[in-house]
Amino acid sequence: MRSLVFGAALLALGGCAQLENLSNTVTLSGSRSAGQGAAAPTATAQGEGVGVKVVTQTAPARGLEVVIPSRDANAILSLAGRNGTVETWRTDDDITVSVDRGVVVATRGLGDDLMAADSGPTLAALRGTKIGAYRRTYRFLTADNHSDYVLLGCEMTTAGNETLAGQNLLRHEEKCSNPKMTVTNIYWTNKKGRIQAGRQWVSPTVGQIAIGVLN
Amino acid sequence: MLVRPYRSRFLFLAMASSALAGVGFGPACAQSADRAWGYNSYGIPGLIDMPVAGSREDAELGFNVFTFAGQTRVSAAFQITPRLSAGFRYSTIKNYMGGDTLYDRSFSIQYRFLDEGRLRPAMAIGINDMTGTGVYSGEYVVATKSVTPKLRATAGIGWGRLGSNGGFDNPLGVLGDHFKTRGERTGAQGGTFQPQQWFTGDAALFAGVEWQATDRLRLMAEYSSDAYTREDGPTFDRKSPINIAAQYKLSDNASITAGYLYGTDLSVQLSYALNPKHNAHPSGLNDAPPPVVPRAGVKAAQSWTNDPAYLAAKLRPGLAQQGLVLEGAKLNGSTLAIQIRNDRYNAPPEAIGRAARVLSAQAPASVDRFAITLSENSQPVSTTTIRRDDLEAYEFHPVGGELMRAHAQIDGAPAHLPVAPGTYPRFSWNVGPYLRPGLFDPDDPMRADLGVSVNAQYEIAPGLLLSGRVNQKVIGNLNQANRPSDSVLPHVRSDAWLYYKNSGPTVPELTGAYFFRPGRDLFGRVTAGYLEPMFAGVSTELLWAPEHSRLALGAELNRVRQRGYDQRFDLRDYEVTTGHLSAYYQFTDQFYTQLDVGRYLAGDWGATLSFSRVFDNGWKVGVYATKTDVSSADFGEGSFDKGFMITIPLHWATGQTTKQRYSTVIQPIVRDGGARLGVSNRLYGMVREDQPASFDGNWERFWR
Repeated sequence: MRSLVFGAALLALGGCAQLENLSNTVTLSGSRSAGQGAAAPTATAQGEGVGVKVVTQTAPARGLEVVIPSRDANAILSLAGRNGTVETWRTDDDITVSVDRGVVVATRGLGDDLMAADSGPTLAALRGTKIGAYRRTYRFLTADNHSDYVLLGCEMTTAGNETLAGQNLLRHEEKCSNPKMTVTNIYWTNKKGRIQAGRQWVSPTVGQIAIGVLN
Repeated sequence: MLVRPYRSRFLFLAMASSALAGVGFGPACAQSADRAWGYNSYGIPGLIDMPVAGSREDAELGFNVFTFAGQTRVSAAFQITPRLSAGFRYSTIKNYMGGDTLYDRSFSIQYRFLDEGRLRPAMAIGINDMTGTGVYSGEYVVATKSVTPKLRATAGIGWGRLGSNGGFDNPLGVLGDHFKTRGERTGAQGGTFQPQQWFTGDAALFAGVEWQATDRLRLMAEYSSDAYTREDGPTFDRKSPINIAAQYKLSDNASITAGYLYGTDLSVQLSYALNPKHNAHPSGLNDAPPPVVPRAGVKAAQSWTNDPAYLAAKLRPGLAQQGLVLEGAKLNGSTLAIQIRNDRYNAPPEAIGRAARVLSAQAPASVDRFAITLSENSQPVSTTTIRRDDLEAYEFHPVGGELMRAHAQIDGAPAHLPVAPGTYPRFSWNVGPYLRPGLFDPDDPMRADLGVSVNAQYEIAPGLLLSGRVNQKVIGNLNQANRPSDSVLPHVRSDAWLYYKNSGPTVPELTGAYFFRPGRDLFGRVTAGYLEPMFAGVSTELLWAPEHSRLALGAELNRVRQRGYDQRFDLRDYEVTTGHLSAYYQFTDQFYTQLDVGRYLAGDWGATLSFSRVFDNGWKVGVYATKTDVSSADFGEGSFDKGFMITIPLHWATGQTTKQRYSTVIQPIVRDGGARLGVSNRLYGMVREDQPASFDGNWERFWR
């Protein structure tokens, strides 16, 4: 059975040494949560450990493991719907995370949700069909119900092979920034080029979340 | 008719790039002096006792309590626009001019007419005590300049009270002799504008500096131009024009200021600020919506019958899960039309968006359009038609909200859809707390009753509604009021204190109402019974409100009789016919005005003018004034009726899904002139939010 430690592993953020220690029951500890707290003007948490407890659960055959450090929360979500290539995964208490082939494109129920984001440029960069800088667009809601957009200029680099939860995966780092913030998203792809895990920024207050595909 | 264009916020924001990341609060970051760092003792943007030229953040509500040497000022301020600030104060001054304690209400306004530049300062003009009894009457022009990002200097010239220390001949005297001496106030009852006094008489200079020493600490020193002529001696001994103070920020919203004022005594000020445009959970904490189900994934039969019972059976459970009540349904070729009652979502587009997603999971593939009608008391108000293709295409599109709106068609609702069987009769009830404040009685300026309120509604047929409310006071001191009315008018409101003497249950409202649509763009209402705590009778209303119009017109006619003080079923002898013609106008998406002309409860004739800022999340802050043919002398203290209105959506505060709002009207003085009947379900308020001119502003919640 594929392990549940994806999320935890992801949040170890480049702490490759720790990955080997992972098992089905593991407590990772570290200095600081990635993307924790508000305002994340420089959410470059690269290289830092995290304090996320991963509790052993019985893994379903298929699911999406999600870890939200800023909420000290993790869960395995079940599939709630599919629209084109986007899958929407839901927790028992009705929070959803929508993922397009491994790229988080929406959340609902987190208080400061990602209303939508584009996945195309990131997927193209991972496939290698797009070279150089590209732009990503994130949409949010304000307290008075207007849209607020965050535009980021991004660049993808490949950071070598890593073993994550027993799989040999290729690590990609997507460094995105604008004058007010900088964030590094990480995607791990398998041999077929599919994203198996990722650590991605979703909103200013939620910060980064980690996902792991269980299949 | 004027049509409100749908504004593209995206393009604007796209150009402004990432506006979001730095939602940051706090004055520590470099800002221009256009943004004031705090409130002064009057509760307007300022230093200690003197004003500054800056404004607070647009839409901020600031609450301040200031106390110093026998004087207390409790104030509320609102940043009406980025440049225009207004404040209301309730003050007490002990041994005023050697006499009793003075209780005073005053209203001030400030406008920043010049932004800070590289060399030029920000500048503002202001008037304290525009309408009160004149205790704080003073005007000023003030300039503030940033010296460094953390140090600001302010200097200004004041008149009236603010021209009383070191006064000199008014430089405005060159404009006319009128400015050279400050005339007497007119009107014995206070509450009227005194423009002939503004900027007249001696003038004096004031100045100050403020230093943002740390993120939390602000130090201030000022030279005051207020000699406290009326208070010096009896209230306190003023020894110096120099004031110093330190403000400490307790949180993003709250701060405390301590000072040493006029060489005499310590002062303390508590400030609390909140902004309707910010909260901790902007997208809300409520459940996720169901995902869109593309046609390929729908398991429904290939074709549906158009039998309302069949449609209701298919659609009602899914809608009910989202808190939406199906009232009618019709399958018309490839269009599936439904009428829903939204009792859950503060923003109508959220109800529309969730209903559309429910339909996407149920409707057979042959359906390619959803027409969703929002209703109020079973009266269809507006219909939003969306293409199923768009729903599937834009669910995760980065600008999916804008695209959805651009492709949606929103019209006035058509005639009633076939009623979904099982909708009527409908019974609902709820129990909740109620709070009834009683403010500004000099014996005790802040009284209140807190109790339990039980509401029940029974809708027999579409639009035919019985509703009632029973209140039981649990704790409170409104019954301690003892202020027999001295009004020479019929005591339509000034006997209010007698209505809260009982400790037993009261029935503030028990009515039967009928709502109907007499024609296109028209809405009608007839309500009969115990309409409000103090009046019973019959109320009728007709409203013309086209869905894309800025303008709406209404007429209301009521025949009412005064209710007994026990708020149960007794009636008193006083009877009156009252009613108004009303015009409602939306200036911009947030600023509304309303003019009501007609006959008031005391039989007086006149007009009410109101202005409000209505935020897209349901917050409302407004002000109104009523002038009738009752003379100032007959009206009594205050001269005419006026007040503030505030509405706070609970959804904004808690992040949970609820349409509940807390609304209150704050009247400095409640008298009998210009009093309006308070009937529930007035049509404009009921209908407007379900029309696109209003809900375009919160359309982005479609995808929430």
